Amino acid sequence: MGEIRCPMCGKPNPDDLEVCQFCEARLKPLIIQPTPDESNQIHPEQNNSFQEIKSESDSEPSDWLSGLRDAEVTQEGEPQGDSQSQFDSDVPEWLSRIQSDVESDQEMEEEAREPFPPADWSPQEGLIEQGEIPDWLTDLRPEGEQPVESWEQEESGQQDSQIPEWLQRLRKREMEDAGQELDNQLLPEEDSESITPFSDEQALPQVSSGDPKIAGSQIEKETTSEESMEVEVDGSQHLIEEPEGTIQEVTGERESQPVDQGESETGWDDSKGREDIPEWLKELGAVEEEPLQPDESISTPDTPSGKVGNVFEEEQEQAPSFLEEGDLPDWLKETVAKEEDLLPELSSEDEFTGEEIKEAPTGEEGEIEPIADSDLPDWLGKEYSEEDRQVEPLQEPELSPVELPSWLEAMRPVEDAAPKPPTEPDIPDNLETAGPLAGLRGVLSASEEVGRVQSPPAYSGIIYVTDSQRLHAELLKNMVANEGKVQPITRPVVIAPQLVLRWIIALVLVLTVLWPIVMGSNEGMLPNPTSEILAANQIINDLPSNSRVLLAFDYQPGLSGEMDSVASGIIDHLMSRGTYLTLVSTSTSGPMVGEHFLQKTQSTHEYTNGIQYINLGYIPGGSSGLLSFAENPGNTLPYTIDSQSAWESAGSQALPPLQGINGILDFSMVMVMTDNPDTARAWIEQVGPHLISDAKSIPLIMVASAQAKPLIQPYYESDPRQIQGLIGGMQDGAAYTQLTGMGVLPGKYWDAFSYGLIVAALILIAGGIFTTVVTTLQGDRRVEGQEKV
Amino acid sequence: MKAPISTSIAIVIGLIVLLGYFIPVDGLLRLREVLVGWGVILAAVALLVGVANLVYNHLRKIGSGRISQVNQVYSIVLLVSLALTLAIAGWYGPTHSYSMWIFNNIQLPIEASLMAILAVILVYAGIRLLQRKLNVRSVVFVVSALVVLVSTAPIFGLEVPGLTDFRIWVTQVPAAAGARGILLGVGLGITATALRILIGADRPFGG
Repeated sequence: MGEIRCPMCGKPNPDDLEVCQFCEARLKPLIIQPTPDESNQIHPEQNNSFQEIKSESDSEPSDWLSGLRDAEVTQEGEPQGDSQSQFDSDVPEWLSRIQSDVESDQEMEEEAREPFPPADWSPQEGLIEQGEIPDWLTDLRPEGEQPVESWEQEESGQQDSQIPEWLQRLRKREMEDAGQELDNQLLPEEDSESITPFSDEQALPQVSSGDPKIAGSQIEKETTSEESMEVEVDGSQHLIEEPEGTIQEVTGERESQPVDQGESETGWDDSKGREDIPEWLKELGAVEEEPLQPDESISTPDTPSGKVGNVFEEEQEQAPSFLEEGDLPDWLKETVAKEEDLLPELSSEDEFTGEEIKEAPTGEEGEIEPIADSDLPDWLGKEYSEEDRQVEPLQEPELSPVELPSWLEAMRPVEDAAPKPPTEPDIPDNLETAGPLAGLRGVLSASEEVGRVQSPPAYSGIIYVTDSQRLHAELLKNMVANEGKVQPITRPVVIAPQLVLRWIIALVLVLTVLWPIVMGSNEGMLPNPTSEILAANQIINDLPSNSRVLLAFDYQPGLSGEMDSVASGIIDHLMSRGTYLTLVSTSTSGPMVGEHFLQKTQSTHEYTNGIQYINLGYIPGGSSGLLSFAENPGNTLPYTIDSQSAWESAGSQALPPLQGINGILDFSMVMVMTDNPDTARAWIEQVGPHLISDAKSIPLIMVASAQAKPLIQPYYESDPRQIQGLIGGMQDGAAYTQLTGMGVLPGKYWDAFSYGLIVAALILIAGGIFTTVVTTLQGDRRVEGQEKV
Repeated sequence: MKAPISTSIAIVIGLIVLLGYFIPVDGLLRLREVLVGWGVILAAVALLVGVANLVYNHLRKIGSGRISQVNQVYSIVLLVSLALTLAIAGWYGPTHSYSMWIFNNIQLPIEASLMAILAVILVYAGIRLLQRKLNVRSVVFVVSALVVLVSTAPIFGLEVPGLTDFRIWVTQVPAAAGARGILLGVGLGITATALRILIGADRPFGG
């Protein structure tokens, strides 16, 4: 099954479809197949449409039209034998059409040999009345030749009776166009223009009038009249003068061969017929023998090769023989004599002027403009001549290869129409012969332009490589991939989930610490006091009774467990000494921590707020606040935390802890309890200098956490000492308790503290050893793995 | 200089306070005392401004809806706790039993629990230290910690001869040396910062 490219979208479609399966455009235009007689008469204005008709008729002749042709032949009295029908079924359609044309020609010649009118013919049986014949044809024809015209009308009437009306109209139109085209083909440019005055009077004005009926009948009669003979003879004479001898010889030979073949096929003597029938009828038959030739020659109107030369040679050979035979009727001889007298005038180029051309009533100039050979595609010129030569054995069975594939047929119009668009604007009366607009003039033909649009060629993106190239490409790909690949890092073995390990550690520590507390164990030996502990103990022991002591609770509530245990023995010692306590803090939570400490650890002393001790609260400003407090404590903290006036003023007496206190030097001792080395440093730097005067020196004792002691230790070890005593951590608190025997918390928590430290140390040791071994083993495995790799 | 007035004030006050240490004249000492007193008041006001800023930010978080509902709940809890504590301590006083109940039963246990967790985390970190970085410094660090831990308290009531002396040496010599170096560095940093502020090179107050 072949393919047909859609003229609209350019996509291939099966050739059996009527419309495009993609855009639903009609693939097979509505073309009316001309009859063989009509196809020989081509109008030059129908170049494009005529070629469409030709291609359509060559490729797919409709059956009904073939049937009509057969019916024409059979009705004209030529019975077809079985062998002939078998031949028709075997040979290609175009060949059968040519054959039918030849047969019809033979029949016409036989008809011509019969006396006019036939014996059984009567005027009443004529299908065309006398009144329908144009006057000019009536004038040209002698009265004695009236039967010939009647015979033609009779035959055409028989055909008209069998062919539908619309088909007859289309045939006439195509005949008209074909005749016009043939006239232009037969004549060179100058000659065709020179004919203009002649045709101006008769044919051209009627053709340009736009009435297809009138034009068709005009041309139809023109081909059967003496005038058309003269024009064709005139054209042939000009072409013979051109240097196309070789083509003329070939075409001359080819002109006779089809006739001979047709004779062999039909058994009809062509030589007799040609001698008997009039020459103009022979010419008509010669043209009908090769219905394809005018199609190709129309596309090359000025090309003196191919079919044009062939047709002219036929006419050249026929015209002299016609004149020499002397068998012409009298009326035709007279007409020929008149035309011969006019020939010098019509053929002379000197007599043509621009005015004459301008006087042409229609725009025919553009139609007969020659197209240069260079503008024509090669196939149009060369292949036509070859094809023309191949036409010689047209009726031989081996001519089947002439059938072109459907895809090639679909492509031909695209290339064929390439050089033609410039001529289209000059054709105002472009007659549409196909499609729904058939019969309309001046219709812009879009099929050719659309047919050019083709889908862009698809280039294959496949790269063909050899095996070695593929192997090298794979190697390169692997190399590049390995370069960007991250080396896997062996994940260390996790001993146990971290969360579980943490819970285990916490559980062990909590149980270890809680066990001595719950059980009330007090078996552990308290540590011995160090020098700084002994110094602090000595200072407290040296305090006079009812002395005022300034206590700074500068530690966070979170560390109260440690700090309370460390300071409990010292505060207990102070309270046992009956000292008045003044509580301050540089921390916002310090006043609460102080209250908590006194309520928790020193409840046994029954110290009352505002009597034995006062809480001055928070000292804002950090170091500046300490400086301010050191310089003027009454101005910095004038009220207690309970909003009582703490200091002695004009109208009020100071609270007992602050009685007799005007400055920081009036305190007997300053003890700072802190977990922060910076806070200890601020006290030492800002307050320490104000504790020293020329008369006395107020001791500054630091009670620190275990983590802050190493940073406070240098102030104690300095010379002179910036702090006079230092008690740091649970161990020093326990040691102070060991020293003084005061304080409950150190003895209560000492076992739990010591057990907790030991267990923590054991966990560290065990865990450290295990992780060290595992890490070492993993390192060995890693090294071994790398060595293996 | 964007704020010459504020910078000039900072430089002048800083020089006056500094000169009070070097030139202990009566007028200069009084002037320094007044300026330091202003500083303490401003610090207290700054604390209140900080509390107000805390309340404003959490109110904005609750109202804007740009944070998750959990964070909004936290902000609400914070603001409610602040309001209750401020109301109780302001009305009854910070040393009232109500106020002390809040401190003893909410603030103190929470902070103490955090410190207790710190003990567990430190033990776990000591184990992980040898697992992650098994080198000389890690080993020295772990060994030092073990020595201090073991020497701080007697091993089930037993005193290991020489262990306490070793602990004292560790705390007095290497630890004290490191601590003094840290204190010297802190002192030099504070001096440099003070000089930068006095010459106007550093303006932490803006401008």
